[in-house]
Amino acid sequence: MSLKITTMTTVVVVIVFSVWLFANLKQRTEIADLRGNQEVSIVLTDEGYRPRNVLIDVGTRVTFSTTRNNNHWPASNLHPSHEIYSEFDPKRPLGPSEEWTFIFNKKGEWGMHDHIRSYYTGVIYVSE
Amino acid sequence: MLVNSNILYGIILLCGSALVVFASALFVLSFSPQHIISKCDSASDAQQVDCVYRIVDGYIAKGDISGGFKLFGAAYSRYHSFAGTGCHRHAHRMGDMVYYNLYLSGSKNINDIYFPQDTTACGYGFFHGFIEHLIQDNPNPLFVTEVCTHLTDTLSDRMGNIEIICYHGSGHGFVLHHSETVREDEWGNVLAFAEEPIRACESLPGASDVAIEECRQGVFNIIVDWMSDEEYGFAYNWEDPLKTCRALEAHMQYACYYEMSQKLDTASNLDPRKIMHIASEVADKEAEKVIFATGIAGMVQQTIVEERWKKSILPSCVTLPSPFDEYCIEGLVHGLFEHGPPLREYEFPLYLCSTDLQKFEVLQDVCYKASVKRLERFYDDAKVGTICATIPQQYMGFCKG
Repeated sequence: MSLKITTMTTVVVVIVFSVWLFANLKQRTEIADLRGNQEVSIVLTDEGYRPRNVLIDVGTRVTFSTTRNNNHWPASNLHPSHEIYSEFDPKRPLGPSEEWTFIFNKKGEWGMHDHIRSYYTGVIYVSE
Repeated sequence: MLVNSNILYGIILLCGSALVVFASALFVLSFSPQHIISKCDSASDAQQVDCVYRIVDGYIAKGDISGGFKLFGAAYSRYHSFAGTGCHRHAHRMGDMVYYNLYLSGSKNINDIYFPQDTTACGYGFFHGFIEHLIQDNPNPLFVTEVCTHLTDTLSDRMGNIEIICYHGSGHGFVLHHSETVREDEWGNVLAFAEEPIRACESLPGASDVAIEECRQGVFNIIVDWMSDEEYGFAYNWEDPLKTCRALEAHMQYACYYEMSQKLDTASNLDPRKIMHIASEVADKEAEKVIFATGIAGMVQQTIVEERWKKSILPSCVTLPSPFDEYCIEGLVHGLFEHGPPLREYEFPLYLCSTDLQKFEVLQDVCYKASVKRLERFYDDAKVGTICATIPQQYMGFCKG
């Protein structure tokens, strides 16, 4: 009787654990893999940055623009200091029709945001 | 044979039980905020904070504000990089995330969002972040009043300062919205940025004088940050921090003094006596007190980690001439509440009152009074009652009822 209970409990625990592990692994962030492109475009829309998370090579030129009628200001995290990658900062607001290009020469994961509406965020993953 | 099968059963039972215990422990542990946050252990200071944001954002995106704040609290206690670099600013980011994930990408109805008690953490930074964007995107005074009335009606019984916090955040929103219309040749001109948002504050339908003043302070809060960060042509005047405010019309002056004094920690190089001299130059005695106490509170942000304020602020406080010694303790208590550990903000102030100020009867009185006054800002009645029950009998009179 004890053996049956133990076996059943073990099986149940293993199943629950496996489901949880699978669910956690599936929760990975969606990242647009744009490696191989020398130039990449990221657009700030009403819904946020598109693409929001991108994987690029070192040396890629990334151009930021917006389809919104408001100023925009892409910059590295943290907000508002932009200290993680301080060069990744135009240092001023950009008009709605203004683009800004930055070359990512440092490998790493660079969290970013719109400095004017800091709720718009994204991540630039730069690989070698 | 019977013995052998019993041994076999025993071994299987033992192994099975061990597996169950191990898997259960792993399962439970994996959900603990400290474990989840520990993924950020290897990152450097600013990257560590960013790492925390990203994990928290995943919880907020699923609608789990409370879960997000549990991680926020874990990060506060685990990383000096988090607690010592502006807990209020980090709480702002929580508000940003909820605004984007649950309001803007959701029903766009504030009634659909449940705000747990943790949202008062770090001086209500969460609400500053949330409201500032809500109003930046909807800069309509009537809408502000509707939102603030709704939040007051639904939350004020457990978040005593939600109304003024809402109006303060609205001031942020008004000036952020207006900043996009200011021409570049007007950058660096305080009035070009402040006048219109202040007019919006002063036209808020049904708002009390206190609410309007909070809104004005919200406007100057953003402008002073721009000065400190040298944005939009501004620069903080480190030599004479209050000069800009002195030049303003009377209705803007107090808000300007209050917000400008939040940076006096840096301007004074963490020296309370220097703040006292700066504050003393203002003729208005009420403004003098506010400037000094706010400057002291600002110092706590930089010294809260490892209780550095005990060596850098407290010894000066108790030796200052009266009434600045009392203002200093009030400011210290205020800062400890504003920058203290989420939901445990009262612990440092009450320890300060009971132990550090044991030999200073007058200051101990000031300390308890200031501490009790702030309890309702952060906690519901039940928790206020529980905390009040722990303070010495002679100071219980400061507690309500």
